[in-house]
Amino acid sequence: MLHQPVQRDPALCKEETMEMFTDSRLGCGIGQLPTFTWRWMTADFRTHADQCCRYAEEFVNIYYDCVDKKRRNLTRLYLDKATLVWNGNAVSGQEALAEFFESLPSSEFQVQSLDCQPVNEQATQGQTTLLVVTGGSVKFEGNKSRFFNQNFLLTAQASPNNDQPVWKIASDCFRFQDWIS
Amino acid sequence: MSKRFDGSQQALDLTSIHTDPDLVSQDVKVVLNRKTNMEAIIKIIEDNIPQLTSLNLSHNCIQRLDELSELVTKVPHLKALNLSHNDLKSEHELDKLKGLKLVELWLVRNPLCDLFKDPSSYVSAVCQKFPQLLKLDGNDLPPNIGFDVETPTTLPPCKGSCFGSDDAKVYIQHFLQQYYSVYDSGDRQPLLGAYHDEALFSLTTPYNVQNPSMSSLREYFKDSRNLKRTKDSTMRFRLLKHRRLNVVALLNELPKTQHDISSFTVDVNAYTVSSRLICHTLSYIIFVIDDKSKESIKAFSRVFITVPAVDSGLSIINDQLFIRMATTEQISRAFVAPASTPSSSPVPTLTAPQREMLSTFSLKSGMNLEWSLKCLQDNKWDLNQAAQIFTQLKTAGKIPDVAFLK
Repeated sequence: MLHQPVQRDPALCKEETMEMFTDSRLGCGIGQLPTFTWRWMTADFRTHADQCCRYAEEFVNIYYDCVDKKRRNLTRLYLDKATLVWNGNAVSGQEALAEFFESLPSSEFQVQSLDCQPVNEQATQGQTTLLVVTGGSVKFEGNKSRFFNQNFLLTAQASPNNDQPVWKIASDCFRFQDWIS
Repeated sequence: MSKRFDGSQQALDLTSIHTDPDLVSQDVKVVLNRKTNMEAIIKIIEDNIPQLTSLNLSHNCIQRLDELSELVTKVPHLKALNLSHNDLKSEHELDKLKGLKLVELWLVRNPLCDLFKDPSSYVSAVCQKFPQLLKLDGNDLPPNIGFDVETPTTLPPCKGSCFGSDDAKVYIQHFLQQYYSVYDSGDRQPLLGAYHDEALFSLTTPYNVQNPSMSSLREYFKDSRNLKRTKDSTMRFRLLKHRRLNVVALLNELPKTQHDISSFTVDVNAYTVSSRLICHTLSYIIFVIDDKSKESIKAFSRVFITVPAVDSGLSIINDQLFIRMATTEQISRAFVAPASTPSSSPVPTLTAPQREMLSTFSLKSGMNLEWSLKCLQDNKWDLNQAAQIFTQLKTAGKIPDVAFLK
């Protein structure tokens, strides 16, 4: 069909709450945000896009606070099989990630830019997924301050500790801006 | 310089190098108060004797320590540094050397020494900057009792592209070559074929607060979506381009470019075989806008999320572009390698007959490329059937006006 009118299914716009990073033991200042469950094309895309921005903002606050101050807790934000590509070094799985983060010098991140886009569910087999892109500067202890770019794919997962889904990092990619191939 | 190096002690003595008879006789004058001279010396040390533990720079009229701050990372084992008989005017110059694990330091006969009211305030100021110091100007200091908190300071080495698998590498390199040959061609309209119907695109650029109008990134400011600055939800939504027609419309408005494909670094951060979802980040590709002047060289980082296209190839569903100024070194390396030959096919995922059919159909139906493409795809590239369906729907008034917007 050339033209199909887009219809809103009221059942899909039911209001409910979705908690981010629900594990209170993280101590990351977690709040509850009202949201809409949504489905591509049918639910209100604008509402969804707006919601994603708020998730992204909350995510960067939690993530970079964790990296700088609570590095031990960092891997909890990642999926069990998450992958990280850090300046071309591939690291995957919780254990390897924990080891990697331990080896990194302590850091002071300053995020100067942030953007996010929802990822079409057609591509993720129905997984609610969010692309978060950041840029800024970082000072690792014993090193001079450098600019970086980083992007994350966040996916909503059922949480064993909570009835509501939580966002987890499925993949993470980090590079210094002054890198030269 | 090898004459002044003592290998057994890993010590380099550059005392009054500007009066060195060997150098002077060859008409070479090394003045360490000059930035370039100091940088050259540091480069020689870094390349040849990075294990250096002792460095003597006395009697060299040094005024500033900016270049020497490189020693912190490049010569991490340096334990003894002699800066006596120089022209250092402020103790703040020493802050630039913070991080060096110095055990011995000489500063005597520098103007900064006279600024302290008594010897003990001098010692305590210096010790604050170098807590491991045992000797200052040759005098023993009480040993510092530290804490056992060894923390890592070495970063993992930076590596090149990370494709993850050869399969992904072939796919992505092919895709990028095709994509950028169109992107740089001057007409980005054919990129419609590279995007998914529901594609999303946004771009971000760092904002120069001091002088936005002077920045060479100004052409991108009005489209920059930075949630750290853009708080208004209407604006946020407007800057997020949804559906390929809108995406390509914006891409068409962006300045003309020429990309140096040889400078691409690609990191594949998610590659799912089952659904063929590929998320990859292009880093630090250098591109020029219009004129060839060095000032216009930019660098960027771009995230593409793609799914397999209906026929073959990749279809972009998410595209996020971050544009910034290139670093001096990146500029000097840009466009040095010969550019690879662009692929002959200007439209990713569309074959030549399909492109021809698309333009014919668009011309005859009066619909724009986006809707023409959709109609053709829906009818499995059967031109007659597509034309029939189009006539039926048009007669029934079922085609929205937006289909005819060009």
